[in-house]
Amino acid sequence: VRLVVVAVVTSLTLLVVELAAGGLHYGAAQPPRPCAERETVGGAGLDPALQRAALRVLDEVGCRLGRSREQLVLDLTQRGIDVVALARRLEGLPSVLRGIVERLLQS
Amino acid sequence: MRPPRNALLLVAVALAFADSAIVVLALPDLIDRFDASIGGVSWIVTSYNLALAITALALPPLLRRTEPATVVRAGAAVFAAASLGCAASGELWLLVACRTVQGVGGALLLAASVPVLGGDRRATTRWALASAIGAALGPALGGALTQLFDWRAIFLVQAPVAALALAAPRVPVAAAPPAGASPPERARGSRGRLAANTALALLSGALVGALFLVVVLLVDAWRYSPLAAAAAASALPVGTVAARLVRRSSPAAGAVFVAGGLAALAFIPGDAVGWPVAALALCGLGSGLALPPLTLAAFAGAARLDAAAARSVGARHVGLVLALVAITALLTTALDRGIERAKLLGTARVLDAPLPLETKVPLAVQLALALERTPKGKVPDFTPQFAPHPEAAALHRRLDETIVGVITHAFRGSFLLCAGLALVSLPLIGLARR
Repeated sequence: VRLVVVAVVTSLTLLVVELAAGGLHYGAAQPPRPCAERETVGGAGLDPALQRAALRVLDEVGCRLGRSREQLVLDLTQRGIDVVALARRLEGLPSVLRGIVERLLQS
Repeated sequence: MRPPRNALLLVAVALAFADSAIVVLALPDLIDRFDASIGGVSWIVTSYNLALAITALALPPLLRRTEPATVVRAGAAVFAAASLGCAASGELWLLVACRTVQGVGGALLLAASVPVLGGDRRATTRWALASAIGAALGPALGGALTQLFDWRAIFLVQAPVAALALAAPRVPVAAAPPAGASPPERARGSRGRLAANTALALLSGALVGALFLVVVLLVDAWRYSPLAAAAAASALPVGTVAARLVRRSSPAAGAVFVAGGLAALAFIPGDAVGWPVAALALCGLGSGLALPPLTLAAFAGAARLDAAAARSVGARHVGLVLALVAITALLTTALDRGIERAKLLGTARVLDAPLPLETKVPLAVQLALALERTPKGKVPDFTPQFAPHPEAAALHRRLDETIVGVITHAFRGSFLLCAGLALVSLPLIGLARR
């Protein structure tokens, strides 16, 4: 009986240490829900502003469809819309836009 | 001459038990070598254990008519030849077939070795201890051999070790003594042996968590090399050997240690190796405390030791195979859900990352392509995609943490099921010891 008590106490000690170190919630994070208030990309300037606008569009479209922005992006990929190709075409867009804005500011 | 021969036979017994899980750490190599799915290569593990269980349970009628040493020698020869066949296999189906034959040889070797070792309490205790240490040693031994040499080395090493049992001394059929010298042990009857065997089956099923799941977690989710995973998994046999320091016999305490260790594996709070090592040490200690006395209880009062050993070996491997099947189904479903959740969380990390579009857009494109290329059920490794973007190191770290955390969490249900099996064995341990 004494050895059983030792086994119970040792096992519970390890479990309590793990739970105190965050074992219950480790890896249990849930993806954001649709239409939930979201923190967005911070910072001033054109780049963060463009990102905020794009994320807002994704959020609004996603909310109407009952999807989060992440689900929407993954859905678009899975439904045959080539998000990768689309994004590749847009790869040069940030520098083009930055160039336009810089020229406008200089002028 | 007999003690050294017995020692060699005990090494062969430990090896046959180790074989249940010896290829687990080689499975990623085997998937690459045979271009097979996880389900396909899992038959390399299942076929051995299933063949061993079925053969062991069917053996008692044969053992009544055959001299034990002859059965041991036949088993050792079949096991050694099948090991060489495994090492030479160029096709997955051939490897699975050789593993099946190996399981048949293993059953013959294990069942008939108890009377050959002497059949007294000392011999059965040593046999039971060899079985516990061998089973615990399997994953670490296989992992080390795979990393240092090749997966074929696992089987090449086994052939000469199994051949050691060919030197088994002769014991006439009639001379096979009944197990358990003391009259109270003989009086326990078949109910006690049934309870002991059922408890052994449940504990063997529970130990699937410590023998298989941890290794899969370390290699597939935490991306450990086979050698590093073998080093971590060696906490299991160390714990089993450490149980010898405990002078008192307490299978109930052993079952509680096993359940506690498995529950601890279910609530690991991070990917630091110390957590699984501590939990595995508890599992090892528990198996060292529980398996030998339960094995003795499964032999106690039996009319024939070899038949009792065959039933005990059969029960342990039936428990292991059933738990493997149940846990594979549970883990596959949990991993599929986990990977979907990891994709969503990973996408959120990338979209929300404080990076300029010039970095974020090409990186997102590369990550999406890498995700598409990752086989179903595998954890993606984004290291090559992040290599040209040192400015995104923080995102890489967060993405990895997210994926590893979610996948680790997916193992929780399976570890808890294993812990539950160990706890269910407790009332049966009470019956077996009565």
